[in-house]
Amino acid sequence: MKKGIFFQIVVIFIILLGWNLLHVGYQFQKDVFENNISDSPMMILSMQEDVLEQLKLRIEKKNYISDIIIIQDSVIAQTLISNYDLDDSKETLKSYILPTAMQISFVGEKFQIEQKLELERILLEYTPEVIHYFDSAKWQIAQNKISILTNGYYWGFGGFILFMLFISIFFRIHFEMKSNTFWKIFHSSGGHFGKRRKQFFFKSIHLAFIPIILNLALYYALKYFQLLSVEIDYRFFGIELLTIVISSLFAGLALGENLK
Amino acid sequence: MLKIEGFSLSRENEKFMLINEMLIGSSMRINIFGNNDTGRSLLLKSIHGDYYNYGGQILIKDKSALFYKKKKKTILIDNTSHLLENESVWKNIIIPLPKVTARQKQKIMELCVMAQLGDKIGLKVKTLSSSSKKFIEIIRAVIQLPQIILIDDFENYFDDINMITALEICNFAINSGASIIATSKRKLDDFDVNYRIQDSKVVKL
Repeated sequence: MKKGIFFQIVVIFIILLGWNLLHVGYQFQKDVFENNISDSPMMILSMQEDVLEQLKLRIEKKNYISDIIIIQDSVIAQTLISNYDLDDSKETLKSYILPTAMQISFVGEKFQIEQKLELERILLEYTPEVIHYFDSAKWQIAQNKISILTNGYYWGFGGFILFMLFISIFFRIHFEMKSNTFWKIFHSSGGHFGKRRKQFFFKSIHLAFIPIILNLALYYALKYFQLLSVEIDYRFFGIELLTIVISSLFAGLALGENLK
Repeated sequence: MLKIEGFSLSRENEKFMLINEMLIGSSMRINIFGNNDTGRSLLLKSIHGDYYNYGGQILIKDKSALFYKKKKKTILIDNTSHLLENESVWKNIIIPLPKVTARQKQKIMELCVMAQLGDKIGLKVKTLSSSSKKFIEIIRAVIQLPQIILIDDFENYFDDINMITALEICNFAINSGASIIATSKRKLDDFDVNYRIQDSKVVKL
């Protein structure tokens, strides 16, 4: 019987490990795609610096904006001179009126279709005073990849829930049925009624908590030694725990009278 | 302790065992004997609470068998083996015990020595004779000190010498207030009271 419970703990631990790896892999890959969005800023040009200041004030509090930098025309001129070695034409360049630029960096995770449309609506209000440049194609590709990845993750997540339920219910019933002879002898020899139910409950506690605690310990060990950069939400472990608890309830219901 | 009133067993509307009244106190050895098909096993099962299709009432300490459905005060040793064949003698004896105290451990050893199982305590049950297996079941029942130990077909497993040993083992529980009810085909010696099943009626001798 002890071998049975140990085997079940190991199996559940391995399934949870796979489930956590799916989550970590998803988060890691999603971060890569979102960083691609963060790395592509939007450039806004305007001849009127005060318009850009107004625009900045209007959008800087949005949660999908990570940073806004206004680059004045003199700085642009200086950058062009130094970048393209235009010292000889310095005076000529200074005589031109250059636009002021504003660079908007985004929070990749939050800059999605609704946010992009909202920003474009705001920019439309400032047209034609401002012109904006943004690599929409790159943003769209990243969004598509995130969408495919998220769909795959949800399918995998659902698959793990079903797999966990199937395996743990099957093993619980299998090992309980296997111990039927023992319990029959236990009861006929004068053993207390209800002990089997009590033991089933304690086994359920062990099966629910030991694999989860081991996985949590592994997660925090990896975080402590800085081997894992991805954060796992506590609620994720809660879902795992709930799945195992539900499997025990189903197994208990399926065993019914056998547990008396 | 045990009170049986107006007890009857029926088969196809025919009553085949009747007990008008049977009173059994504590620390008693009772033998009920009779031929096959007289309902001896069913009587024991009824007292144990495993069989309810009978007339009359069975009360243990003034409470019906239904009361003891989940907290039995009786232990039934019937004809079938209730042992884990691949486990040791020791493991089989301690199966129902929640915790084995030092006193219980000592007593189990003493009883095993009496039953000539002292040197076989670690052996697997499947290697033992049927009388040794029955000794294990009796020791296991006795050590729990129930109110009543019910033994079906007592003489089936033991010769006369082993029967005396079995009763000596039972004395441990009897001295603590338990009673033994054993059925058999013939009248057994060394019992306090003998009942005979005669013309479908249980008669005290």
